Amino acid sequence: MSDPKVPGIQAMQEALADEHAAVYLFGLLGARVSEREQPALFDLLSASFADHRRNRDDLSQMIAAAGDTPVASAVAYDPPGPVDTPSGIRRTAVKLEKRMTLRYGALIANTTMEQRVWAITALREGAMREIAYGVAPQDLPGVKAG
Amino acid sequence: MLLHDPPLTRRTTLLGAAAIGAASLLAACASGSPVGDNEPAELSVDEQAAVKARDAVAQTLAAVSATSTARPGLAVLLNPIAAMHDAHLSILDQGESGAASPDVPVVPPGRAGALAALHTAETQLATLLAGLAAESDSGQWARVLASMSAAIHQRLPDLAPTQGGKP
Repeated sequence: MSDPKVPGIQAMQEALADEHAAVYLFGLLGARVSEREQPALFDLLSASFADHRRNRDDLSQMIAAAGDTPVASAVAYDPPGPVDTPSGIRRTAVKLEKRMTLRYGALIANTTMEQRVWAITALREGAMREIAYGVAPQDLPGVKAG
Repeated sequence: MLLHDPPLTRRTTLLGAAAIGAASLLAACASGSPVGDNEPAELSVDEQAAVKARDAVAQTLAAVSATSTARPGLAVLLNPIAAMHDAHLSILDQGESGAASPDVPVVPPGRAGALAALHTAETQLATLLAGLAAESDSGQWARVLASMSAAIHQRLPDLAPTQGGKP
């Protein structure tokens, strides 16, 4: 259980819960794309999967180091968009990345010190992944839903 | 609570609040600040960060504008970057006047050199904003500064030699 007296712990748990979903869903999306027929999209999805898996592990470690138990993954997650065509998969991937970028913004607002520095890096990397998927740059990524 | 902070800290917090759409808070607190008295104001960490960020963004915007003027062919590439800096300045300038005029930037000769100089300046600005975000007292203010830094990173590929450095 989260201890609300530990600064930022609740925000880190919420970010971890979303990372669990991201890891699952990017794995699902990647499995539905042919590496040979859609190599660019496959590479993007593979990079997202790897980045979110690393973020999940980092958050788990930070939460454990703060004395809390990292929230567990659900058994399965529903994709927030279509998963049956390459264009649909790309749109769903963008939706997932945007959700995570907003989550990192919230994490910055609710943490301090090394946890905030971690979130700042995660926000920058998430914003860059959005660009890689073809999203137009925003003035305030991670603050406003774009 | 935001509404009960001292003016300078409150103002800084409101910058972040305004950026995420808390216009009602901004309207409620926009009146009466002692900033501008002859006595030197005691600046909070966030207030100092706001001034540093504003001056650095203004200086980088001046460099972008000077490059567009010197190299009109780059305007299409640089106009969106200038618009982003304008948007950031509109947040950083809220409730505050008297920003220092930026130095007149020197544009390096050659298209690739001009872009490389801008790439360096933008990278330094993004690093500065991220550092200020890390040190901010206000979490919402930190979020806004970090977001500005990320927005700059999103545009850095446009300044890479392979994008804009063509003769």
